[in-house]
Amino acid sequence: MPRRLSLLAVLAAVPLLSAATQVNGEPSASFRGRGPGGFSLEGKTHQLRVEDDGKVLKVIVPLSGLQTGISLRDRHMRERYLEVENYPDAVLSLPWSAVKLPEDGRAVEATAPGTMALHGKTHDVQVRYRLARSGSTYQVSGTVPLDIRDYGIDIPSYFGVTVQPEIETSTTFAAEHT
Amino acid sequence: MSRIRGLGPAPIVAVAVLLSAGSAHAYPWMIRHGYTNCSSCHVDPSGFGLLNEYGRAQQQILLPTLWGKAPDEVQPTTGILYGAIPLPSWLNVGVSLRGAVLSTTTSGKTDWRDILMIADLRAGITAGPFLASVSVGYLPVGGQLAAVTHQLRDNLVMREHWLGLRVDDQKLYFILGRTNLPFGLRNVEHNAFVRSATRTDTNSAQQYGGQVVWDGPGVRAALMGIAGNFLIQDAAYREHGYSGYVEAAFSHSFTLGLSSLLTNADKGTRSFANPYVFADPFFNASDVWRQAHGLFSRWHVGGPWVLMAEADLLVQSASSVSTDWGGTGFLQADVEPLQGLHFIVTGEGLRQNAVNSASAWFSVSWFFFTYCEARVDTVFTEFGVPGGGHQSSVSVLGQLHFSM
Repeated sequence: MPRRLSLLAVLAAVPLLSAATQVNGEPSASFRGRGPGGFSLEGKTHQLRVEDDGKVLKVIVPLSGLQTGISLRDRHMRERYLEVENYPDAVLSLPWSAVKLPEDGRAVEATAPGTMALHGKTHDVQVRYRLARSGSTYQVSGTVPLDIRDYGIDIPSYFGVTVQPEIETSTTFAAEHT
Repeated sequence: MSRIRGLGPAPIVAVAVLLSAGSAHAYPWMIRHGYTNCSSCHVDPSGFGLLNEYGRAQQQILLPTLWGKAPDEVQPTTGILYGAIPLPSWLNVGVSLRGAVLSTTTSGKTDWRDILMIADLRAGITAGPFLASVSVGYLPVGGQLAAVTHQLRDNLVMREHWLGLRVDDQKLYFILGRTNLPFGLRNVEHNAFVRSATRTDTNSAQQYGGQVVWDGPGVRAALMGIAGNFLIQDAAYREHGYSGYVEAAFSHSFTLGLSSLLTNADKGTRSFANPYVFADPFFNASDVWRQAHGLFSRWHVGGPWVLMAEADLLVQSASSVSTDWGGTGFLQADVEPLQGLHFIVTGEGLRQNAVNSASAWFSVSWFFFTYCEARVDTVFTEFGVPGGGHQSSVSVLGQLHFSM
């Protein structure tokens, strides 16, 4: 029984440990794809959370909330391409060792190596990010270009319009980091 | 020549014609769904009219009221007649029928007319790099500038017929034939001052010429060399020049564009959109130059709200005629609280021949079933009268439109 209690105490402490970085306000995550000519589409969600174990920062985007402005397209995206039931999240992992933190009142733009887990596959990616610091609050924005074929996602095609496999994903959020 | 003179009817009829509403379908408010370009859905990369395979699907998904069905449950078919006749992906066929009843009240006198505004068959090809589009229709009255027969009534009209080539992943187009003029908003209200005063409406203002169109990521542009409207029998009245636009999409919800038009004709046609300007110094004048330059914008403000705006400088000059400096503006709010049901409020102004006019439109457009639209426009107009004063006009237009 005491052992079980101590295990519970450890589990309860995990959120506190992982609270080194906490999202404030309304975050956003999006992707931008292109088709033939000037066709383009943008999927957006405001669902985003971060996990921070002090070594790796994980930005987790639940994909079920992605919206492109057309609900039938959203459904196709969720069911046919992202297969959200099986692969609910996109997870970007960044080692803190690769991230440059700006001094208070300053901003930094840089590129860092990370990994993207999507649709059951994980690949190395380059993350272009911008961090602007005010005290312990950081405004974070980052972009990651990726090729959906690398993740085993079928190329979306609908009545003659085929989306290019290269897309750009981006996230924006404010976070408290201590 | 006689066909040109025949375009100047009595004011109340002219007002009725001016106030009769949309000629076809071109919906700039599709920016509500993130569409900032037109070529995704239309055979004409600058928008309007004949839909391609993807456009036919979107027409069923996004336009009509779905009567309890969730939008993501729609199973679109790209065949015609509700899918009864399948079409190969390279073949595009459409039909547009628009009938209306118009009541126009001017000086206490009300005029009632029923109008067949459109009865067009359209066909086109989108086969790899090759494009073609043609429309053939019948009009009992009006539309002389697009008529291939030469009767006072009951004419065959061919608004569009052109061939095209598209390259560079459908970003670059070359088009040759009779096309709509690339200029400003391609809005459905062909009689709005911005369309009638610039003569860039989709009803009958098409011209022959060649176009280069760019439809790339974030920017679309078109430049047309105007060779003239060869359906005007007297070549002296044909305009030559250019028309074009550049429109940048700053996001999926906001665009800003620049338009420019310059034409020259040996002789001038009736040039003023205000039917109460009886003495038109440019009519039959020699060496007539017509210019329009302006800005236009589309903005999905959020939720059901879309704003569209256009403002154009109008300049007209001719031999032995004082240059006329004018302008026209258009601001429209389109609200779609329920899919298919649009409440539209429009304000517009016009200055030509030193006379100011203004209109306010209150419109309801309901795509009540797939391919079917009912629309009512109530238009209050104060036409300026040369020498001072205004002439008020109220028109109510009810329309039924079947477009497939």
